[in-house]
Amino acid sequence: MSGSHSNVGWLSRMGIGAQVLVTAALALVALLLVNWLVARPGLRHRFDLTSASSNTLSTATLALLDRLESDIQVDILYRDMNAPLTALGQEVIVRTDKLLVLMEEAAGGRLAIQVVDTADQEAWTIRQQELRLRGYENGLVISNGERREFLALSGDLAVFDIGNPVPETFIPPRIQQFDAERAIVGAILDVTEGAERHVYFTYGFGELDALDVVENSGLGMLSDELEGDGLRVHRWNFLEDGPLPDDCAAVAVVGPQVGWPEDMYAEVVEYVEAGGRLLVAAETVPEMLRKSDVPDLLAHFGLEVSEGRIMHPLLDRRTGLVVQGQQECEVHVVTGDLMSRHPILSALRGVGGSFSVPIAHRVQVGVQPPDGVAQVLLRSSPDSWLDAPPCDRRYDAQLDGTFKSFPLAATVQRPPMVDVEAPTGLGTVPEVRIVALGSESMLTNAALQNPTFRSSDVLRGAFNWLLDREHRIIMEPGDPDLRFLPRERPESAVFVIRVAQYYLPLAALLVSLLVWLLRTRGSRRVALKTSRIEESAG
Amino acid sequence: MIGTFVVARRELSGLFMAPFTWIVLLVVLFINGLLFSSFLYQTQGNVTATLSESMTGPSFWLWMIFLPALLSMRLVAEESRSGTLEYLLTAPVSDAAVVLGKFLAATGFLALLWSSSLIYAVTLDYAGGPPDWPAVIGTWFGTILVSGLFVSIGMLASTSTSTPLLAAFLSMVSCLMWIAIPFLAANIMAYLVPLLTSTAAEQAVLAERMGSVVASMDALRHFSRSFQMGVLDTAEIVFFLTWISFFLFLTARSIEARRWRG
Amino acid sequence: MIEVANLTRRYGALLAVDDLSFEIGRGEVVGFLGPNGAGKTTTIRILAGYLAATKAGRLVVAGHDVQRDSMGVRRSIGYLPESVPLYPELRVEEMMRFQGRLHRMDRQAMRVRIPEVLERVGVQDRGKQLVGTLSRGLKQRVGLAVALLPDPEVLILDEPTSGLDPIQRGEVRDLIHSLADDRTVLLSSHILAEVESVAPRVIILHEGQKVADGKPAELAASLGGGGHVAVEVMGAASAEDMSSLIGSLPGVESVATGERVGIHQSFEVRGEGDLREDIGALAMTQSWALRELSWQRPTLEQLFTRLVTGRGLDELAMPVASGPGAAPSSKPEAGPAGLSADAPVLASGLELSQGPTGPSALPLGTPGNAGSKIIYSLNPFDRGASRDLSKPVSVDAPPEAPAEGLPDGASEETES
Repeated sequence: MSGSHSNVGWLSRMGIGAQVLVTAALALVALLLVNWLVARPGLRHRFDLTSASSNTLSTATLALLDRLESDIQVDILYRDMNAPLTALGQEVIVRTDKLLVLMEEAAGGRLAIQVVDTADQEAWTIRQQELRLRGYENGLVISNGERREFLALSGDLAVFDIGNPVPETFIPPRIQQFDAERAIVGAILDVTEGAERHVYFTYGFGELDALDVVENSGLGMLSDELEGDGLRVHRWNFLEDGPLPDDCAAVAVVGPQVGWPEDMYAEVVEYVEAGGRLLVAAETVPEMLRKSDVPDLLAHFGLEVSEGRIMHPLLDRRTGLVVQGQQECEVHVVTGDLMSRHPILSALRGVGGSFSVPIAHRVQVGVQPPDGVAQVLLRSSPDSWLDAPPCDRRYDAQLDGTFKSFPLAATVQRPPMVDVEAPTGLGTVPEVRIVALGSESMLTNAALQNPTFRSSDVLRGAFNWLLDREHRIIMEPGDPDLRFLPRERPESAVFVIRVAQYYLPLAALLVSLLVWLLRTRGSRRVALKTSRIEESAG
Repeated sequence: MIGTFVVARRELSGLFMAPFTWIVLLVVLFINGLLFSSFLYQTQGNVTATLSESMTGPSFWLWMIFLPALLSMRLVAEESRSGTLEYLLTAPVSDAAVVLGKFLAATGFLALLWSSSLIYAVTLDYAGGPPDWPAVIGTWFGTILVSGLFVSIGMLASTSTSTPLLAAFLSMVSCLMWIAIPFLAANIMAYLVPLLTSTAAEQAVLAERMGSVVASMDALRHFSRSFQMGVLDTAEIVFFLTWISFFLFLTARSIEARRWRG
Repeated sequence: MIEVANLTRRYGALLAVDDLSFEIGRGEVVGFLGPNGAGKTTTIRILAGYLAATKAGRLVVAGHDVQRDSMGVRRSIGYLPESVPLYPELRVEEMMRFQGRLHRMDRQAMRVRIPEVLERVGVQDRGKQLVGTLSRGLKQRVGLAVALLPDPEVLILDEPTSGLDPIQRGEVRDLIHSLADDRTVLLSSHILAEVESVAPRVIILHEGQKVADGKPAELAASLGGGGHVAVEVMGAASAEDMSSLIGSLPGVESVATGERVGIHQSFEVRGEGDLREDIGALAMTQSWALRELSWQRPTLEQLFTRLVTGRGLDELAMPVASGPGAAPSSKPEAGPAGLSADAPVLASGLELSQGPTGPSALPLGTPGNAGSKIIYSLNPFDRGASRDLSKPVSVDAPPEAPAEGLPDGASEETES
């Protein structure tokens, strides 16, 4: 027990300790190495055990994620849905979540997922602004930088069937279709394909200037909005610039006042017929509208634009009566009931928003395309009238007809009208999309500056819809794979709950008593527990 | 190898002969039954969601903090105090066999406990809501692996003391730490990253690197990305098995160190 | 069967076993003696493979090297730790079967062997009883049965009689006696009487060192200087006169005057050979009334106390009126007559007249009156005490008994 002895002891203990530490460190290194190794794509195997293969991404998805070059951000927006869809909404979001996790794994760091906490008002407001969202709807926002697309929970990700809530003929609500994978892949394709997307505004024939931010009649503010959405805005004049460039994603024709050269008209028609995208807004002045090619252009695609403009009486806000002599208000306030069910307006309808359309012609569907859909987008209020040309802005029963609701804008969506090469697999399917607006004024700086008009959301929505491409994604249809206890037999749930809550613990209790009985039989002292306590007390 | 099974068999039968184990079993079954019923009610009879929530929900992770600690306290610390560990460690079986045997017994007990979920599933099947059996079994297998991981952590913590209560407490804290790694690491990183780097770009890179290291140890994440979804992933299975072996190895070393410490 | 050379074991700075060497041959029964903290349990645990040796020249048990082939050692020994570790929730038979499985015995062998062993230790009718409900003595027997099950060549028993009442102790002692016929037994005890009655050879440890090794009787003879004659007489003469008269007898070396009880005066007479006849004759000539005249051999108790305290037997026994040449035992060369050559009687460096002095140095209790057997103060009704395995039950128990499980060395340190 001398000093040297204790020193040796201390040293040998240190030696053993160091040895243990070194072996532990080596084992840790080996462990990390093995883990790294087995996570390599070649060595890693995943076996999907679910019967609906809900954890297996389709080959098309994997191929897309594999060649993903930009970072995709997915924001999940979810609040509990109202009854009777609460449980189903949850189910859809849980599944979408799983799907996103799988995609995240497959994307190798290119896909980031964020759940937006909409309950945190402040953070939600900030995120809402970042995502340039307005209002709220459950769904996903898929963004690639400033280019983003919204996928609604109900409609894009899944289709619900509300069922029949009447007790006698009750049919439970159900998920008709779960299509999240297809929708997400489509959205990713949308936001990634082609680094930049270009919109060409025709110019030089009386059209409003797309780059003018100063004048009230300029479109500069709209262009800024579109640039904010990741689009590039150009002016295009056939005479100066030649045919439309290949990268053209859409053509906008805003209020030409004179006719185009024939080549230019032919170029635009040819472009649209082959699956192009077109936005047309009619010139305000009837004579000029008549001179321009807009009526012909629209007629070519089955739409009609009137020379006359829609007016409606100006009502006093307090009394609800027509302000004396004012039958000719030209600012149309479009509320939810005047909007059609169209993707352009769905977000706005969802939040009960409204906007104003100033000085509009009537745009109506003339001929329904045989293989597509032409539909009215907006309507004026039911008490409006059509001021026949020349627009004297004075109601004349003889000329101007009856009071009713008039269409202010229309859309066309149809397959290409000429034969084009159809892509296979993940490619884009060419499709004709047209938005025809009766009013050029709603696009101007003046309108966008006016806080009461609030037309920018609609315009952005219109351009987004126009530029949204239909993708051919070959994918098995999503199997809802719903497993519910039969609702028509509530006693089945009661049985399950009884088993879980009473029978199973009771059975365990009985087994424990049996074991206790068996164990204590043949022993003089019965209590096993007592002896244990005595043991530990010793 | 034979020694391992001899020890495991005795430990497992020893567990079921003690009233302590039955009390734990009853409490867990009772609470899990209540939770299961409430999930079934909340999800309006959604079989998949209810089973998933009761097998892998927060309650499962809460049990993972307490149960392995109690089991390893019984299997290691109490035996160390009563002297039966001396008996085992002088019996003709290796330390590794003793450690492995005890580990298998505790994990086996938890596996049995979690198979109560399979009974729920059978009941649901009988009542007309057939569960997705392969996925349910895959998830059950995953819960066993998670149990194994936490038992091995608990055993390592338990070998450091022969005071049962202290051992249980240490095990509990260790298991909690293991679950809380991502949260702790996030907090620590928030302090550390600005200290180590100067520019925002470097910070982002460092934070991402550290984040990936932390994520690679996050048992919750590993579990939720494979077994919980009904996927068998070789990499995740290896993750759990290697960490279990690592902790068991350390446990065996720790027991060996007793021979030196006395 | 057991060879130990230069075994050293430290607990940190504490030296529990200090360069210990001994050898035990096949079929020998050897008792390990020493106070608590002497290093007995540590040595035994090292031999059984529970603890590692800090340093050892040679450590062989039953032909297997303890450090290299621990499994071989564990397979060929039966080891019963002091705490008798049995699983309380198992039945006796289940405990036996578990031991059998650990030793890779097959079913058939176990079916034959288990009843045989249980009968041998006398608990054949307790096979179905839970271990936790057994009394301390029965538990000890079952522990022995467990250790005996694989029919080990070497049996190592750590304090096999601790915590038992005197009757149980006797039973266990007899049991060990019967086992000793066909195997090597190493047992430890701090109760000297136990070892003395069982083991033909004892090794006495103190502070981790071997202080003595040999047959109890020889050790006693060599260390205690043989026996003495106890004389108790009633005579007219004064005690001094009587003492000098006895001292004048031929062969008498010293006469110690004892106490006077009533009219009787007692003496302790030491010398060569049996002096009883001479003293008897002297008493007759002096017409003393003899009340006692007996030959008293010193027990291992006294020897042990003497070894570990370093104080003379006489000092402890009674006030000494030493004659010339008292305490011959302090001469080492006087001893080794009947001792094995390879094991010296006295370990190097230990001189009996030296060592820690003063009663406070070692709180080992003082034994009772010399000559009579010390009855250790075990209260058989004190269940709590009997279960506390680490608490020594003899009078030499230090009042602050070390907690169970603490290494012997630790308690040793606190004492010295």
